[in-house]
Amino acid sequence: MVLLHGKLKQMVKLNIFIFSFFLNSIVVSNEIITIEIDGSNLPETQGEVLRGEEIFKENCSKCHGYSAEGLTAPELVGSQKLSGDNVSKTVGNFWPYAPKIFDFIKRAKRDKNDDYYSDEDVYSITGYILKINNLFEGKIIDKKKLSEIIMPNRDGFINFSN
Amino acid sequence: MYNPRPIKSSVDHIHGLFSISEWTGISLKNLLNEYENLYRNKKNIWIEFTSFDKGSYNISLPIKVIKEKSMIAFYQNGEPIRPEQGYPSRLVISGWEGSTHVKWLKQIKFRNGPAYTRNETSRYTDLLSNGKARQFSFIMDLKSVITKPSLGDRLKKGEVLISGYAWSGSTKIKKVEISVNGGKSWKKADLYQEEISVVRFNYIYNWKGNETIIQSRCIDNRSRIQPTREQVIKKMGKNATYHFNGITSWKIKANGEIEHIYI
Repeated sequence: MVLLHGKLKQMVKLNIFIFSFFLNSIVVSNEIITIEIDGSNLPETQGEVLRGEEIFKENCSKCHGYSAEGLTAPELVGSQKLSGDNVSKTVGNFWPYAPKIFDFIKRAKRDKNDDYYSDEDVYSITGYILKINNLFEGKIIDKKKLSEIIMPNRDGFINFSN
Repeated sequence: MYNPRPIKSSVDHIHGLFSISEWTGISLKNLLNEYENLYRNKKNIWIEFTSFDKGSYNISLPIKVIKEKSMIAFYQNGEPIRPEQGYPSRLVISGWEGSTHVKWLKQIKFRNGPAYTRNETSRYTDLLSNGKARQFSFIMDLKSVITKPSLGDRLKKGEVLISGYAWSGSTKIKKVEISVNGGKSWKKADLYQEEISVVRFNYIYNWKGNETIIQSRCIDNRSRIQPTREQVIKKMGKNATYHFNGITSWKIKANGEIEHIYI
């Protein structure tokens, strides 16, 4: 690491001060909760698959395609194969943990007014995406049902960190 | 570079938007020492970094590996990090892929084991030809790229400067070699500095106006040689998307234009 002297050191110190200001004041009041792979931290509410379809067709389909086949944004449904030519990595054939679909929609996606989706809407969209991938058959989805889904590619990863 | 056909694009686009910068900041180790009571005596601690960006980009990384080699950066190339590069601060991890260098740092959390975020499963995992994907494969392996001449340049006959970068995420670069005949023979390039992990290399080539192929390859302090594209494809398959470290081939046409090709 670079050793700092004089004025540069002062500037870094000032930036660390600003950084800790960010950490202490803004961040803590707007903490992002990570949903765990076993469904921990999922909210105790529910969503409707039909409502999810409505939201998807109205908002998400503009980039993901009307049938989630992919457009400017990636496909969410497609062929099952993960080897050979023309492989596409979709929610159905690649995502290993169902609760993480909720996590990603909640943190990264916005509604037509550019606001966060409500937890109910996130459940609904999650349920719809699982339904079109033939991974969920019910009409209502909640914490328990989402946590129980075993994704086809759950064991498809080799840990390379060791 | 895994694409079935060579992408006709600029050098940074072909190689995962690579760039070279000098970063200044505080060592992550110093910051973590301040909060040691939060993780002391706990096993399998990973740190989850979350960004201020609209998608709340997040990724979790193993503390035992990143503690020694990371910094919270405030300066890039001697000036405060620009807004689009992550102001006020971003994570920089020496030798690791860019997706781990979380910009606009908002939240740093200790946790037990990985968070399995979208960026650790659906993205930034290397899908091998048997259908299984390498996960948490953070290190950028031995690689070199000629940046000049590359797509967009037009050569004139005579002495031409061939230059570029070589790097290794886990070792040091000992030597860089240049071929001006499509890999038939290799000659040593001049290095800006030896025995570090990122080097700039230069080579003077007397181009006589003939159509030919120029390439670079590097060798590290463990005598590993940068692989050919063929060797990488054989090992990783065609669907891996990330961590391509094979040799790049630039064709010089008779009119001096540069084209990206596979050989």
